[in-house]
Amino acid sequence: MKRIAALALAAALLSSQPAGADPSGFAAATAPYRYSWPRDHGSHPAYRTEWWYFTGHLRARDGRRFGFELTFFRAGLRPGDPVPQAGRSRWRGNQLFPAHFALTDESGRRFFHDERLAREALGFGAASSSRLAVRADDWALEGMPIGSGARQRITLHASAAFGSLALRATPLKDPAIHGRGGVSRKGACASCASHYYSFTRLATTGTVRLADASYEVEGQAWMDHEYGTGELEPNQRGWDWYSIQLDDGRELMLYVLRRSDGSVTPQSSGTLVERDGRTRYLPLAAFASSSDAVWKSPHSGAVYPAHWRVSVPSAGLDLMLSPVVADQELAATTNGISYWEGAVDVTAAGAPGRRVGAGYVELTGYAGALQL
Amino acid sequence: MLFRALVAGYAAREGFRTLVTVFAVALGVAIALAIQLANATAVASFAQSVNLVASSVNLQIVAIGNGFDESVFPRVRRVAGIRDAQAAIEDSLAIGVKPGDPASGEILHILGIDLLQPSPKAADARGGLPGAYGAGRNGSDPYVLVGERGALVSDRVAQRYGLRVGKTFEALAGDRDVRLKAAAVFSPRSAALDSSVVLVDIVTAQELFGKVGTLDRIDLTVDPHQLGAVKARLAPLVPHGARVVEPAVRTGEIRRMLRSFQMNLAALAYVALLVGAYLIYNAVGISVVQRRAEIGTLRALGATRDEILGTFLAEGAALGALGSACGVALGALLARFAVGAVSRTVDTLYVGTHVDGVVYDPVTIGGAFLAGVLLAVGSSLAPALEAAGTLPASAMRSRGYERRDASGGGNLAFAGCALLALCALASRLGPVGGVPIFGYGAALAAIFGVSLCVPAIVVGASRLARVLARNAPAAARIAAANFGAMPRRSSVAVASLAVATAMMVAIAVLIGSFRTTVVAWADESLRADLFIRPPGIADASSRSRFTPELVARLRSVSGVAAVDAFRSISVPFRGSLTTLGATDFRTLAVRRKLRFLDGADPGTLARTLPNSNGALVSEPFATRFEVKEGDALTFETPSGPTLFRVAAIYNDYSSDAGVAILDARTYARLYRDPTFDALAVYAGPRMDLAGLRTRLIRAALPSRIELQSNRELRDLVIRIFDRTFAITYALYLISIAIAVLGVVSTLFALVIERRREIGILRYVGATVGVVRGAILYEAALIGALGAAVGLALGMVLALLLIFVINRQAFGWLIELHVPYAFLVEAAVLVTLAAIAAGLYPAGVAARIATADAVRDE
Repeated sequence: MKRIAALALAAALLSSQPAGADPSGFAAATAPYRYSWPRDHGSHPAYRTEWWYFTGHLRARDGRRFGFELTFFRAGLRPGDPVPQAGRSRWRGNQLFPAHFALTDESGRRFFHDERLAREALGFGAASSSRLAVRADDWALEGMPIGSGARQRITLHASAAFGSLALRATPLKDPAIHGRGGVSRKGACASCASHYYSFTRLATTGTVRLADASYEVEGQAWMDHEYGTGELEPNQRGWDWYSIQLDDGRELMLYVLRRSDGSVTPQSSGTLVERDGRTRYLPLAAFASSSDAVWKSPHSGAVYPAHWRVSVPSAGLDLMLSPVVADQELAATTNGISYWEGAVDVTAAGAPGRRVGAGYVELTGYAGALQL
Repeated sequence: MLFRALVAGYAAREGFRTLVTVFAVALGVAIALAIQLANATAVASFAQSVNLVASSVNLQIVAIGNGFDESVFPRVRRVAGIRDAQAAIEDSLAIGVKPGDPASGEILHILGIDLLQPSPKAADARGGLPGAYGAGRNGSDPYVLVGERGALVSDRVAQRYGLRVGKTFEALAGDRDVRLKAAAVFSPRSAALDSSVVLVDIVTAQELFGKVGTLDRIDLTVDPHQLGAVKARLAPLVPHGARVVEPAVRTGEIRRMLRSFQMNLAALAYVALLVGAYLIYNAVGISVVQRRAEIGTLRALGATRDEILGTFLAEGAALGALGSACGVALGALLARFAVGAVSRTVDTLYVGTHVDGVVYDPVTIGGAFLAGVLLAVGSSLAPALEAAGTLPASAMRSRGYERRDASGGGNLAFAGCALLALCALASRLGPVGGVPIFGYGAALAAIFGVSLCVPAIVVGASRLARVLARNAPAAARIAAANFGAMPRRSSVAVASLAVATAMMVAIAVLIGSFRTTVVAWADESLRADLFIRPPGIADASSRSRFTPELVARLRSVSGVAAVDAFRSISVPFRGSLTTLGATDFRTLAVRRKLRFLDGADPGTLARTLPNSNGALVSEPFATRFEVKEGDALTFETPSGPTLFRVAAIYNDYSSDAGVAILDARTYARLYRDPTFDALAVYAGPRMDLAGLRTRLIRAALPSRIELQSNRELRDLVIRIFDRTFAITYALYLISIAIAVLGVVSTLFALVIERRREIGILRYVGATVGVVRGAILYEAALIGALGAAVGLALGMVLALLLIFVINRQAFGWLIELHVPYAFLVEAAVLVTLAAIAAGLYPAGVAARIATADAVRDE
């Protein structure tokens, strides 16, 4: 359910169409849709927006704990692959590849982030449309099929001034498909939808470098892959998104789309993934989320919720989510947009302090309304 | 205390003269400073444009000639040790150009970079500019940047051409009209960019200027500890058409190219300061003479020689400091105008710079101040020593009289002649590292040598004047007697006037000769009927070019007998920059435009040179790089380092940076550049040029061309020449002004000093008219002698400038042409100015009350 940068970017790109570009040339995410892996792990240039999104919790041998986010976006300017033309610069390309990398040093209570924006020029930014392989400058994501190819052995690379990441991630479950009929709805309009699936639990090992220190780490990661052409509805202000990996082997994904008037878009929904990988669609009525604390960003001045209670009664879940570090805001990123995306500890609501899992929360639309 | 007793009170009493002296010093310091600031600003603004993308850039990959293949960029980015790499296209657009008016509009420097880069380091690399991202809501729309040729323009350009964000504007890219859209307006100050820079996305730049697939530059931010290692890693990657260079090296190349031009200006500026130094000498000298009695008294009361010496040195220093302080303020103000003049010349002749404001370098300012003070202390040394040598008793006795100089200036004249001999010697020595140090030394020796001879000349002249004035009116006789009576005082006035006059004469002779030479050269080398250039301004930074197809189209226009096509690019050569030209050598024998030295035969050259690696080099090139016929030159080319042989040296005045010309086909092959940037069209016999003009313009469409007739181009050459020397003219007018102030100051002192004599004259029956006349006659004598000595010294300086300094610094071969009429006018003008300077002192003298003045006797 990501997200903001790619959507904002695509919106910006579409706000002033040059002659020859046809926004309607992009495909819409419509039901029914059948996924076909490994092909669908790759890029879908027919759709305007796409992202491969990783979050995770890592632990070094010395007990040091890290949270990470590494996201590769694809923003289409024109549908399809570029056609070389005489007199046209190769720097044009049909798409852009933004990427965000954030590292939370849970033990040191620090947070770092950086980004890339690679053009489809000279191979700086690229995404294979036949397999899982995405690159934004020196950051890269690559998958090697396991068996039929629905599962992939994934390698991740990102480096910034503050540190770097080199991980190998192996899914423990098959892809979990969100929404219904292969389509995840974001609003009432026909195009307000996307194709969205996740690897909700990836066994992850690798190396984290922070400043000059290197750590061998292992832990669990989460991957989202989402693509579509849709936009938000005009009155949608932003969203709160939760991904939770429970220690009992289940995972939970929820997104709540907020409107300007404070109400919630009825299409907000979630998915519960059982221990064996089976998924259950959660309509808005099936879960509840609330917040009882706020955090004010010193960077953007935005006031974010900072502590949540999430419950899915039908699954026997009543959870408390609290940020491992208060400041996990990706401030003034692409297009000047700020959002909060951070690692959270998950505890049982009835038994404070008893850890039942780990999660990631994304909060958008708090640093000024998204003008999409 | 002593200072207060001797100097402060005196300076207050002598307010007018102190003011004049301080003003003169101020003017000298101001000029010197203004010129230096202007010079420094011209270099600094180029340094800025070299660095353009970011201050953190410490290594660049720069194209030689045309751009290099962009495919190297991804590989360069992966080289270890490189923190950031930015690909860039450099070019220029002309904006606000009115058809047919080459002087209209402005050249904007285009920098095409990847404007979509989001990271803070990229934003920093853009100088904090709003690219597509990283600037909040002010970030420009990427689609405007990539899809609609969005351009980021400076607030100055936006204001001047009425651009708002979102507004489309027209400009000329090379020979084509193009449309861009203002995507954002930036403030050049906060962005640390030159205001003439326009940022566009690399897509826009490549497509606009036909540079698809190539880059002009890659700016690298390299870990400083790994600079050497990174260079080594880059070496095998970088194609022949590019070189890896540190930005400081490029700035150094420019500095070396501009060195001669700037040094000449600075030297002239310091002559103005020198004239000010004479005035300090004069002022302190007069104050010593006037206070001999006080000095004597102080000495009698126990003041030591050192105290007296220190006091008068302090007076000089105080005058110098006051003058320098005012001069620094004035200079900073004048610098604004000087910067305009200097940078216009640099723009036209050397490299495109755009100066937004004066760079007020504290070192330069401090230096000018210090130079003013030191010169003041130095020039007050002699009178101060004299004061220190005053015997207590004698000084009290002969109150107010200058010690008569019995030697008639003989000793000084001897020293002066020694200096002149030194001057003759120094003028024969060669340059040191391309700098005519001995030439400047010879000029300085000439100035001081002649100055030292002035007392003897004054004594001699006064004798002559007395003889001549025997039958003249009383006023003239009195003036003639007075003139020789205090030779040293008059000498300083004469010397300062002479130096100023000499400077004027020297510059006039130099410019006159140079201009005549250039006109003759233009007549000889500009023979075509029409000259065609890409539209836009005559500016060294204009990069517009003609395609071979366009040239072919123009060749086939009816009425065209022949078209010569030229190409010139700026290339690095031996640590400096020079111009590499290309033309068809087969036409050498036919057109005979080039005047070869050493009798090289154009016919032979036309047969042997085409398609070879033979090069023709200009005389300034040969001088600068110390090459002669037959020498081998190695130029970096896109096809690798290539050896060229100097086939002949030709006479040229188009560039002091030097020109090396290759055969057009050799150039096109080695530099992979078939374009041209200037065409010379020869019309068929009895062709109607107006009609031909129209046909050519029509044939060129859709490209736009600018046509000039032979006459117009020659006029342009002369206009550029005059523009180059405009600041020099301004300099000499100012030094004359300083010298005239000196005359006023001297005569005024004489009048004050001669109160008694004037009183006695009046007492014995001289009329007011006689008194006033005597002063004016004396002024005329000073003026005439100053003019005469100045003419002589000026001719010496002119010869040094023409045959030593310019020859060594620029390699110009200038034929001496003496503008006699101008010299006569100048002499008369200087004399008249001196007489005018005498008016006020004469008026004061006429008002001296007889009774008061003679009371002392």
